[in-house]
Amino acid sequence: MIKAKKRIRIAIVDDEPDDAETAKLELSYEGFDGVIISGNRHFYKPEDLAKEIESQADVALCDHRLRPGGLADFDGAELAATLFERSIPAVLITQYYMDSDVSIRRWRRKVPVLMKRADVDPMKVKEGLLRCEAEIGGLPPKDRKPYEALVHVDEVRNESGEKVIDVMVTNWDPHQAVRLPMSLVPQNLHADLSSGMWLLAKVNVGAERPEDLYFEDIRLAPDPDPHDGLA
Amino acid sequence: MDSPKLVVLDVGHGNCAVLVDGEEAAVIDCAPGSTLHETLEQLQIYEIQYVFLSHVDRDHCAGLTGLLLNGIVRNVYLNPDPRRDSKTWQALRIALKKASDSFGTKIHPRLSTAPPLNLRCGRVDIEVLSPSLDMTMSGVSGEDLQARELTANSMSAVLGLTHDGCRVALFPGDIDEVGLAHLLEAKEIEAKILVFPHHGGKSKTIAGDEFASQLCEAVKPELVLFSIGRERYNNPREEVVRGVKSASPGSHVLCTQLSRSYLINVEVRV
Repeated sequence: MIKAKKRIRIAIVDDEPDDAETAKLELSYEGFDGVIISGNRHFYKPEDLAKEIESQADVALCDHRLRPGGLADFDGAELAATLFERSIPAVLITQYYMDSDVSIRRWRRKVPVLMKRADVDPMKVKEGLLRCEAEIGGLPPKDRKPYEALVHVDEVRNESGEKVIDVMVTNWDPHQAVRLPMSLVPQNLHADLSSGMWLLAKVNVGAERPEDLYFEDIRLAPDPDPHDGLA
Repeated sequence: MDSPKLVVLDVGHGNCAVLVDGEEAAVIDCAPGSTLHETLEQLQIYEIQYVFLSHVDRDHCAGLTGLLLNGIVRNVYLNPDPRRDSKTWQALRIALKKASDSFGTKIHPRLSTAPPLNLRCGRVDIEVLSPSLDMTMSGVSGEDLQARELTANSMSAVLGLTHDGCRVALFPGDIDEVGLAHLLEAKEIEAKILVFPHHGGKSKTIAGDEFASQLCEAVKPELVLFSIGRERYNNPREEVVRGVKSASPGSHVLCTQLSRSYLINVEVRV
């Protein structure tokens, strides 16, 4: 769809009007007609904003932090995931890369593309939207396919009032820890979850960057067999 | 009927190869990441008869957990490593148990020359050339009969693939100079293709060119493959390539980071 269109209507969702205007101008050089959705309105639910976008645009560029400027009561990652569910390609951008661990990771299964604001240019946005479109169509790129993985819980901790877990995914990179929100773990495991435990999950182990990992279908892993003859 | 296919995957700094002949498939070493999964999907392999782990360093084994948890592996051959306590090793043991309990995967905690395994994948014979029985009896961190330390690398399982009477490829894992000395004492190891051990990195006690020339003089390869990444390590080392070229001046050298993945048709003699 995106490739075939000469002009693509893109919703630019940003609580900073100046940033939105800049993005609109730059994107126009690559065949995008920008529709700015900025701080002059307020949205309480991602579904409401998603409907607004759907009525005006084909695709979206979403800033992650939408609350500071009063645009929404939710984050851009949740909006991008809602758009994904409605088959609308959306690229998520942020200058707060620390958000990728928790508030973005929570929705990352349905957020195919995350870009640093500083890296955003019209060509990359277009490429990102094509990736989203392919994934929505059931053809995810290799770095987005989920595979079974064993996840080691290194630590359970509170960060800024939210419970998070730091984990290691051995069949991705056993030398790099990754943080995720406890909310991704089923409620029935919360009380007993502690460092040293192993979980099973579906993880996109083809991802190159830790911020691109997503986790779904998290379960408790069995213990190793002490009599397996291997130790 | 199609001839057997051997794919040496570009997995960065690590090793992984897939052998497929008709309905049967075998995997030699499993580096982490999704490249192996992707390759199996592309080759339409939904069941793997044999997985061999040369040793259990993460860049050779971490990718096996995903295959085991998917339930597509029938047999796993590896050597125990009692002193290992890494998360990768723990994860592998958990996955082995799960695969055994849930999918009937058979775990064979022995991969050595004796008694011979006599395994075939389609029309390709799979031969274990090292470690020898006396090495496995000492095990990792033990000593051989000459009081040389046996590291995980020394104990690397060395596999040869033979088709139609010709040894097509040799996979020596990360074998070091001690392992090589044992291998050279015991076996004829000529092969058309050599997947160079330890990614063409440093040897512990002898010069890289000496190690490479000893190995290549014995293997007489026509093609030497280095399975290497694009960052971090500076492999293959210059002296290693020098050793390869001095012992096998007519051989071709390929690096996975340049060629991405290398597919050969086993029937075509290189």
